[in-house]
Amino acid sequence: MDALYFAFSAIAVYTALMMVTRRHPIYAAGWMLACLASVAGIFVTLHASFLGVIQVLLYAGAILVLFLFVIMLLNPSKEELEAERVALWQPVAGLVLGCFFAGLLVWAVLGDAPGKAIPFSEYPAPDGFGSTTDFGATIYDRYVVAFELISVLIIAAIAAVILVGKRNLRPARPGRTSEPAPPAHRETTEEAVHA
Amino acid sequence: MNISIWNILVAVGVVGLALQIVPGLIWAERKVCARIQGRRGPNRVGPFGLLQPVADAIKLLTKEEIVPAGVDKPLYYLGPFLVFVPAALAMAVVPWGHDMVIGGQRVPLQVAELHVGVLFVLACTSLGVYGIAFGGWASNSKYPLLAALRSSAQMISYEVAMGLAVVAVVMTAGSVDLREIVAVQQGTWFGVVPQWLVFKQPIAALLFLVAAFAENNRLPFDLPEAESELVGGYHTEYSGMKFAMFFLGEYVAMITMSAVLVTLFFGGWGFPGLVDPSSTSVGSALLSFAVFLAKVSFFLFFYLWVRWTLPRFRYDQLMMLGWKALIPLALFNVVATGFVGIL
Repeated sequence: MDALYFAFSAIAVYTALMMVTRRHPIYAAGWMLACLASVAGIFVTLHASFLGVIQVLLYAGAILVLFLFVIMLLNPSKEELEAERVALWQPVAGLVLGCFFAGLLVWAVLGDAPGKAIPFSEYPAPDGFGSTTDFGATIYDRYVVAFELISVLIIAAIAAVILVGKRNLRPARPGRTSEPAPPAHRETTEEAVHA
Repeated sequence: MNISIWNILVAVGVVGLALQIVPGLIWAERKVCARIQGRRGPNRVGPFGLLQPVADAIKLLTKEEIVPAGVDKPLYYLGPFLVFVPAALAMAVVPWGHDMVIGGQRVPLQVAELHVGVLFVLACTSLGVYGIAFGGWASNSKYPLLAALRSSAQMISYEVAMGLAVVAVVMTAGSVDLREIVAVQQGTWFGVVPQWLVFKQPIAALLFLVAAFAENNRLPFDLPEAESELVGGYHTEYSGMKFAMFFLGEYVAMITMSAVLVTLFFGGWGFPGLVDPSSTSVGSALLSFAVFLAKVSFFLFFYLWVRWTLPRFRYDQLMMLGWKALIPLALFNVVATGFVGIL
């Protein structure tokens, strides 16, 4: 299991690096897919198979597909992508933040940070750990308030998105404006695709 | 977990079987189509035209592979494989028959005894869209791109309905393990009616069936390859064996979906009065496997039957059905199942 864990970790780091260094967003999305899959592999090697499958189902199966949908819809050309320049402060800020989190990680593993990381040979997973039953019991018992708060947050976000997205779609009332009403037209298949 | 030679044989057998069903399915597709349209279908190559798929395969393998100029090569090559692999992967968790004991050793007719089997199947089917999306985009052509867009929107929409249908099944069966879902469906009511979940969850079964057609891009939901609108859809720029891989992926996905449908709603390998669920003999296991295969064959036939009977939906109708009919119905079904569970 240890060898698999480190193999998945190495793949995750490599694919994550490839993801942020690709110029074309489709390739970035492709590497992100590989990265998400290897993180799911890490979960499975840590006896959290439920979390691993959910990772693939939600992030790779739903969220990334939406990313891909938007990228393909915009379909930026090579010229557009090459014309885009990265400001100097962006890589610098990324480097500083990256070093900060890497430092935290090293401190957690090697130093004496509170909640210090323990090698898994010293802390074997208890029986049933990571199973669906165990997972459900934890969420709906110990973290039930936090879980419900998150769902309220998501509903608020969805409502906000609908409000922002629909604001410009409201048709002008006839008679109020001097402009002629837009001609009524049947939505064709291609427009429905872009809608 | 110790892996015996039998486990490896089962794994190889499942993949081999799936690949062997595909030519037969293509032959059946043409024969069923011909029958429905009042024709004879393939009848020149071999008895009843049975060798026609072999001839087709030889043709596809020896055909020139044309890679159009301007395609994005890495993703263009990756596309067909990404359609095939997830479909075949999902078969790993399907129980093809009950356990048997060979030489004192338990051999499950299942490649991976995963405790989160249902979720694994959903995860695999949700990955099927990447092959179409990458292939369609990399073709650098407008029709495949439109197909890729349609496909990703369609898959996301119907995945929600399918997932919610499965939630109701999981609530009724009380497990996400496919083995246990099959186990709770053994036995009968009044000695005649099998306790299949289709009788307890008819709405979920219907929703799953409709969503399965959409997930597999089969008529009446084959918008990503609507030949009358998009030339050939996402595989317009593909030829030879790469084109055949897309086809193989679609047919394997059909087999997987039928197998999952049978497992979730139609008692899996069980059949009252025919298969003894408590038996562990090899003969009984093979019988349960045959029962499972017969049920899967019926749903494969159902796929073909629907394809040659119903016309294609319009894209906005497809979205309307998914979001305004199936998903609210599925949500209602989940709530209703919850109420019944409490009572």
